[in-house]
Amino acid sequence: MTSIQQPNIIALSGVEKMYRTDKLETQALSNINVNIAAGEFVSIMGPSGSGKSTLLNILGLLDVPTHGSVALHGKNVESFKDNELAHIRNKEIGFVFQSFHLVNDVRVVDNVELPLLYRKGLTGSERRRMALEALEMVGLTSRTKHFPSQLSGGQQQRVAIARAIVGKPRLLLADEPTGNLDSKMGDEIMHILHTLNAEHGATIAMVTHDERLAAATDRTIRVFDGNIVGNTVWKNTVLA
Amino acid sequence: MLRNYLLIAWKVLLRRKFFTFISLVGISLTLATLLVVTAFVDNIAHPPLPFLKTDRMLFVQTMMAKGGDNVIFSNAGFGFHDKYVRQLPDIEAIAVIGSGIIDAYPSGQKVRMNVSYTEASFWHIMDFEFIEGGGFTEEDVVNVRNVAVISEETRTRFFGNTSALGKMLPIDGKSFRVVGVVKNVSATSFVYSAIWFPITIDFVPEARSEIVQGVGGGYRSIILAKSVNDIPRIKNNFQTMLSRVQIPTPPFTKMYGGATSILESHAMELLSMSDEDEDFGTRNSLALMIGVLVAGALAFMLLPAINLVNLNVSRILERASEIGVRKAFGASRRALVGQFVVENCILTVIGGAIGILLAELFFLWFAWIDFVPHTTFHINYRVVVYAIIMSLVFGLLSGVLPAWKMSRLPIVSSLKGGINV
Ligand SMILES: Nc1ncnc2c1ncn2[C@@H]1O[C@H](COP(=O)(O)OP(=O)(O)OP(=O)(O)O)[C@@H](O)[C@H]1O
Ligand SMILES: [Mg+2]
Repeated sequence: MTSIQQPNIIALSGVEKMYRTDKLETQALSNINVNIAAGEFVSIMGPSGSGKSTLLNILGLLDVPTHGSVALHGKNVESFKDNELAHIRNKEIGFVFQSFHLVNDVRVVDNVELPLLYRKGLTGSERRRMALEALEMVGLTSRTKHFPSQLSGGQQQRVAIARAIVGKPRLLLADEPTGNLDSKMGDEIMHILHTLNAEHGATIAMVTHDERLAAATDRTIRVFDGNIVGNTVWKNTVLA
Repeated sequence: MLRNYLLIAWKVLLRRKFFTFISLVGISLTLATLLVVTAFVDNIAHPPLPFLKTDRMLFVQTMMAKGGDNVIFSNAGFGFHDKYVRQLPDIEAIAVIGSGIIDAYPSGQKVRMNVSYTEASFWHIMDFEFIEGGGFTEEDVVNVRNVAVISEETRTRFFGNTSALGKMLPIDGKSFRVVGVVKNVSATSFVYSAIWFPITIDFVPEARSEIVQGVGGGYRSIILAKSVNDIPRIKNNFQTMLSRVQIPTPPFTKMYGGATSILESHAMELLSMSDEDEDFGTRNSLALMIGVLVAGALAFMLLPAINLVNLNVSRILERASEIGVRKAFGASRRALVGQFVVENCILTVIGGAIGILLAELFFLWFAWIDFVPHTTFHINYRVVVYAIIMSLVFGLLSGVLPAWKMSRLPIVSSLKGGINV
């Protein structure tokens, strides 16, 4: 089956994003049309400041476009109320932030547990077990009781990844998840992402500067100056 | 979930020590002050001995008499209590009490003393702790015997620390035989006195028939109902009785007042003295007093609360990134507000606990300087309950607003705001 035939998990059409500060107007995105199919592993590339993070934020329902529409499973997200959006983010979306954004006041394992706190019907021990599993996947079992400030940049990044995958989201958005990692660790993370994609059917959009990692995904969207300037399809099929 | 909130709250409080310290100082001083007031009120509402049967007691105190343009507020004459109040049905006992101040000269030095004149039933209605002897009897009263019950303090003044029973007490050129010695009661008590005499000792000939206070002086009375359930009926009957009272002394034609519970009586004393409305004694002064106290407490908390709101806003702003992350991972606004309010309430409850300690220390100092003679105030379980309630109200008051504001920040700006912290 081709990725094109899959239903879109998320679709942007005519999306513009304008940032207004006191005097300055920055057009971060202009006329973006992107469809991401369920089960796809998409990479996003582009120079610094080209709008990759902005795009990812909109795909992850963390930000709203100035113009244009965002549809999740074919439904316009404007129609969702605040707490419906919160619920969707909690159940369906996982985010790895470019600058990690760990909560420094709590231990690593509690950081990873964070998304599960907002999910109903989980006991404390279930949350703990899931968090430890996620930490095992990123190879951090020995650091669960540490505080984020006691970890290296790469370790913090892996905590951020564990937090993003702990809730088994259907859509994973990762902003340079391997940016601070050496190539060996980067490969391990990529392996985790590929496993999530292949075995759990997670849809993934990942920002990267690494052409090699991008080539291992299904497709690369190239962004320049707020516009999509290229779309390289590496694999025509989503491997089961 | 809650465990998680508590954990993070604890960490945050420890990490921002200066903020925590400043907040706690403000909160605990505010709550300590409120607790001191609360303990005072509690002491009035639930007085210690000799008030044991307080829930069956009604007090007839200040009355208002009107006639034409004339109004007086005063305790009624003996005749009013004797002829009218005493006749009310469902009453187990009534004690009429007059009070005065006398100069006595124990060991040659002049001492001013509060004294009371009352009936034998007084010793039945009140539960004094007798160290020696007992109350005077009806016979003593009827026969105008020169006997007296004295307080422990008075005994010490006149007789040192020896037994006083049967000894003669020299007052106003007369000698009174001591028939009983009671433990000291608080100076704030309704029945505070140094010496109690039979009521007849004090009578001028007119006293027996006076309705409105006259040369015979004013009297109060304490009614003991047969049962708590009779209280509302007695109060109603009191009003019916009032409408039938005949006042022989012009210009007054009508009396107003009420038979009120101990708390209502205090409320009346505090609130309705100078007001000439005809519902004097029957209007709900208690509700008004409670309203005033609660409003006062809220007003008193308002400024520190605003202060705490400000501190909170900056504290929560520092955690913009955390808020952004939580929202990104699905925290609803309600969950976020809940978290910050819980955190804030932890702070105020700790502040409340320190406040209790401060208030207790204050009371120790109070007792040490003997500010209110023979009175020890304490933070009892009721006051602790009030303290918890006040702390939580304070926590909500100061926590909800900043939390709600912060939870409205868009996710992306929250995350950006947190980057450099
Ligand atoms: N909150 C904001 N206010 C104003 N301008 C912004 C804001 N966020 C982003 N921008 C601007 O929008 C443009 C796109 O930013 P974005 O963060 O999406 O870039 P990026 O492609 O992720 O860059 P990088 O590779 O450096 O992370 C930039 O010019 C940036 O300055
Ligand atoms: Mg970026």
